[in-house]
Amino acid sequence: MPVPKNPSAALDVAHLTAGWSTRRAAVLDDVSLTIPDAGVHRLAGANGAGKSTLIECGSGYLVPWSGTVTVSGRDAAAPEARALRRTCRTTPALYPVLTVAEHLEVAATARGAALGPVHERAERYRLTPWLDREARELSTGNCRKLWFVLCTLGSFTLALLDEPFNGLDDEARTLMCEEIAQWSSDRAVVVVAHEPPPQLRVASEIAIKGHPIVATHPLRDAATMGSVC
Amino acid sequence: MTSTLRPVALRWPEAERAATLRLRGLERSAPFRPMVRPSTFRVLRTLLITACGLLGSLVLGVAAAWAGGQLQPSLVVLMVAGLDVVAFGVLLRRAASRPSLNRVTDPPDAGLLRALDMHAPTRFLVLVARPAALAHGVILALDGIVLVGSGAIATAPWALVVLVLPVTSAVIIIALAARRCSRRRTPARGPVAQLVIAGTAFAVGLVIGRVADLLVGTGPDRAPEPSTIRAGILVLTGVMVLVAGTLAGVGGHHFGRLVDLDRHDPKPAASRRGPHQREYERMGAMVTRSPLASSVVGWWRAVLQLAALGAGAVVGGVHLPAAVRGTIGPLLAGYAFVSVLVASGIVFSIAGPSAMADRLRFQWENSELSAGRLAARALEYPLSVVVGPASLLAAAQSALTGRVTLRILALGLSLVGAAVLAESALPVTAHADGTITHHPLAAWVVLLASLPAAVIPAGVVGAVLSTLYGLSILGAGHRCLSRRILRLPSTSPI
Repeated sequence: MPVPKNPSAALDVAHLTAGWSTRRAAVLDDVSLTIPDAGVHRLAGANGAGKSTLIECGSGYLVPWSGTVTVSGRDAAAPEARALRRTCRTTPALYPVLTVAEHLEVAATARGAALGPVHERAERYRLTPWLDREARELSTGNCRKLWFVLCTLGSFTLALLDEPFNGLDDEARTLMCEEIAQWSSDRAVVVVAHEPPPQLRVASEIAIKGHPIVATHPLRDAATMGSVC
Repeated sequence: MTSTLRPVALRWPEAERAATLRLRGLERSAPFRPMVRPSTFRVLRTLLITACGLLGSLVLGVAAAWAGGQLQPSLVVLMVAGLDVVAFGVLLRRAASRPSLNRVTDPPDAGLLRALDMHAPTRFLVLVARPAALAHGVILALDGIVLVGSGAIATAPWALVVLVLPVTSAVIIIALAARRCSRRRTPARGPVAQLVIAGTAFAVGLVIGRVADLLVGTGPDRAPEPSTIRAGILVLTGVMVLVAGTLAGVGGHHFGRLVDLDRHDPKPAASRRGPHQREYERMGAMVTRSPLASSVVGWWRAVLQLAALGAGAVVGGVHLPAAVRGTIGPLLAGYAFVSVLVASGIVFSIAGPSAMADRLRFQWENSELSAGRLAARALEYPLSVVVGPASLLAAAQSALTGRVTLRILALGLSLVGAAVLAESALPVTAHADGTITHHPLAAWVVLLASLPAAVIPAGVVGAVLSTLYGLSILGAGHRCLSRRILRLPSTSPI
């Protein structure tokens, strides 16, 4: 088994240059940053700055042009990193003809999680009345709630959340912020959010500025930052 | 935190496998949900499969016991080996089909699978390797029932060798499927590749025919000896073991590369192909995206390969009874006519000249190529799908029947030409996805225009006449298409 690099960091990005096609300019150019193993860290920046690209590099999906991305010291693309990381992408990708309950069942099986607590979590998000409904019948908000629950099941050390609050009502946003705060006590949560809810307490903000060059800022002290909004 | 997560990481592949299997089960039961619950569906399905298995085993056991009393043990073993080879061909075809592999390479629910970390290697194991292994397990069990039920094992213990065949067959199929999956962007097979495949099938048939002639003797007055059957089966098993052993390594290598399917590589694949070849491949990709077109073209090619294999065997020394020879000719011609008719309709609606009309006009405006040259290029793909295999099938038919015939080729040529004529003469409806729907009368025009090629009497003169007719129709179609390129209103932004 390879020796983990910088295992104390939940996400370690070193001299990362990445983009979606080498025929075009890189979206991220020589980016380096370190996310510690606990706390909420917000990625901020204009549209097209490269926040989602960074998330996809962290998820192991996008192959870097150069540089390294590690999750708890393991290469982000390595199979061992999967159990440590959860990625909740912007657009829900539910299976239209499967019901909510079936989605939860498959996700719980995939993450090795017990189904009981998964259903309890779904109940907190008020998904219980929709358990027997197919995904294609769900409203936008319910789709997003189900997607968030599916993508963040089981044990992990790092959660990468790309615009998780879009399309949610206040109650769901509050609940989501509470869950994120709870996770952040012993694991890292990276959130991409243009307009994060006031309840979200961030430990640090990482500003990604402009295409194609990215400037990364050292983590700022949560005490001086306060809440982002 | 890390220490508490270690057990999760260790059991990860098992969880991934179980989830993929569960998702597959739910997908399967989803259409029946209004009638039965998924759990009930699962139970009913299991019960049905078990009942069918038991009933089938019982019937097979009785039939084997009857056959054991009627036939020599070596003949029973030969039949089992023959059926194993046929099953191998069918399962290989099924496992290597694009819709089956697409579930691994380009699944419709890719976003969900990626979110839940259900990766391509696991999908391959669950959706391709597992069904193949199960199917071969069933074949192995059926082989065992026949060998035991007929008493062949008791009188000829060497018959156990035949049980190796399903195992090697499973290894070969899984290895080839892994190779095909890892090379997701395999380009459409060009005419040369089709020729090579048909040539290989012919060569394999030739070897089989020679070996069969030498070992068994297939002449009308020669009956196979038990010792030669045994030698033949031992040789066949040895070859299968050798091939499976070689392909196991290849399959393992390609299985290891399946992880790349779940990653986005921003580097464009290096291509040594020219723009013309890429255009051909693009057309092929458009056609193979349609499950129906993929299936029709796939079966058309499968029949061609089978015919080439049979032709090779006949040339190699296998003697077909006169009744079989008399049936093969009309059977192949009829199959070819219907298949070419359907295939050309589908291909023309997706990548035919009308579907490509705007693009052809744009190319004419922005290149040095003449309208005639562009029309010829536009016909290249439909011709390679239809006429290439048709000419090879005609050659195979000639070898199988012992009579030179070009009817299938003439039919192919005239069908493509008639389809172009019909497209030119009748309006088509264009759709947003780039495909077109032909006019309802188009099928009649195609049938009527290609009819003479089908009714010209057989024989050398008939073959020449029908081929000339096919070429004339094709030439007329080409001429119409060239004029159409020149007269099409320009939609180019330039």
